[in-house]
Amino acid sequence: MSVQYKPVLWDRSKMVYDAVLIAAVGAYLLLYLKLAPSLADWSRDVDYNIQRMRAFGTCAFLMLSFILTIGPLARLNPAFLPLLYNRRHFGVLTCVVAAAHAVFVLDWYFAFSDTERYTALLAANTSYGQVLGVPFEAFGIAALGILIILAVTSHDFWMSFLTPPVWKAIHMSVYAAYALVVAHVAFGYLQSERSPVIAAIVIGAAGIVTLLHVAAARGEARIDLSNAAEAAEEEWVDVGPVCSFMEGRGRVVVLPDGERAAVFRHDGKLSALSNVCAHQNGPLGEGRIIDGCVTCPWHGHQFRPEDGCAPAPFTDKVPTYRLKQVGDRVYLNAEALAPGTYVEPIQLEEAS
Amino acid sequence: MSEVHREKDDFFVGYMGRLPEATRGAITAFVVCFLAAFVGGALALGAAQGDPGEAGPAGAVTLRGVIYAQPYPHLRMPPEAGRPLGRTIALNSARGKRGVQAEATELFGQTVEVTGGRLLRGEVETLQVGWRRGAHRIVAVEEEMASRLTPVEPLGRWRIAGEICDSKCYLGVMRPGRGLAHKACANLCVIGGAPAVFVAAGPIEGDEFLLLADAGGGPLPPAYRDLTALLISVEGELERRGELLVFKVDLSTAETL
Ligand code: FES
Repeated sequence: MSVQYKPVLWDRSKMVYDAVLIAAVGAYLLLYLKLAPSLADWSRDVDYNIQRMRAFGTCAFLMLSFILTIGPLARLNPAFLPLLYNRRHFGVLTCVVAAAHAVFVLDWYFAFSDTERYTALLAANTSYGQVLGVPFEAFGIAALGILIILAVTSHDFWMSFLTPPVWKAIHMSVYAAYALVVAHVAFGYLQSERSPVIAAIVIGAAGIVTLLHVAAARGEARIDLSNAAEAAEEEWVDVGPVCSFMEGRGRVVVLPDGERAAVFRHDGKLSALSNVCAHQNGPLGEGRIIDGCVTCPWHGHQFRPEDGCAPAPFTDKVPTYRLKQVGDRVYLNAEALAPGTYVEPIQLEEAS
Repeated sequence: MSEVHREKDDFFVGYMGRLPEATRGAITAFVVCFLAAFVGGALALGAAQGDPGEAGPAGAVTLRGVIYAQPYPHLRMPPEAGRPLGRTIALNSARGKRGVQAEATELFGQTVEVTGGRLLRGEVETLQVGWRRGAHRIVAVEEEMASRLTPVEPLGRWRIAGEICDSKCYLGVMRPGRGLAHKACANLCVIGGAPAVFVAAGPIEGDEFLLLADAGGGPLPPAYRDLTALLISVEGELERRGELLVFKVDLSTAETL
């Protein structure tokens, strides 16, 4: 188990990130509740309690939409990678805003009756068999449940406790949460309000999230194709000419079985590791060598190129691969070695 | 620190602080879009909220009339100058999503004085009997009034388009107090005893606000809950009781529009 859930360090970039987040959310709520009503065309004000549930609900929707653009943006252009750091703060704050929305709804639409409010929430509308009038609250409840699980398990402790693959799988359910939120809005607020502005914003946000994911997936598939290693004798696969490896950088190669390896050049020597970071499956091959270690582009976890071990005091490990040079070309043995296995880096002989 | 890091390349590691030069443009663009979306989104979404209508509290009153319990509690008053049919008003409770069925059933047909707060939407009114806390204020009084009421007038069979609402929220306890986002709340109000009403898509005999009843004149059967807040059309017998139209619906004829 890793010891990497050390106390959170509050460096400047984190503080700026959080400050921007909080400023955006604060500005949103303030403008929605204080300025927007004066722009609206009302014969009498919408109840403040209803404005408040709408302000928090729409804010949570926009936040979740933005969170989901970060992943594909970073895959499309590594310049967006810094946004990945602290994405969890973004997620946790979204969960808090969504929970506030739920509390305001419970305290208004489901309060003041002889039926206890949680019972009322589930029992007041049971028209599950129809499209219009379906209890859209249920979608919201399910989405909030997922967001709460994600927020609670967002700490690195849970990642090492649950193991990264399980953690990652759980956290992929953010997509289910987003789909549920879109359904919640589409069958609830959008049906009630029938405003083209609101519909355009909801459809636009969900559309951008979808398009970015499609674009990122296409980009990834194209890169995989161009990085596909050529199968040669048995398990040794050709991963390219010597000159294709740049000092201090890695290259992702896709092996015949679809696995990805990351080949790094450091001090004129080549080493190969699994491309999958032990932290959260980040793409190690897109990282850099920093202080002699392969450094993951997502959250900066480090691994020594020669044995895939994190430097002390950390204990994470990734699998390694054997390499050899034949003439001008580099070959990789597709059989992954156990995480942390030492492999002597190969000294490159540049072809004359 | 290695060469690679020192040469300010485009690689960012969170714990190393500053943003690399090469990423600044992208990050700034993202932050600007993010802030603009939040500012613009707040104003656009906030201002796009529809008009909840001119409805809400309209002061406290004490009214004297004959109380009825079916289909839902209502009070009828004799004709007076300018109101040839006699003021007729559905009764809600001031105590949340509750009704005054118990009192109305007990005092049914008697002349009573009812105190509470009025809710008004245009010309349509209801009375929220009593106050937030404490007993409902319905007191029987010595006065024969029933014989002075206008007779109940049957208006035949109709198919009418509109929306099932609860009278309390629709008349302004919640703004907006109708629509699909409010469906569960409307059901909860009617379950609790608020008179169910049909808000017609256009005027019927001059009114858009009809008190609902089942075919037998009693309160709606639970099947109404699937239809609340939807635009539907439904068939039933219409009758006039003073100023109030009562629509005795056959829910099996309901169609979603
Ligand atoms: S995935 Fe988090 S550091 Fe690699």
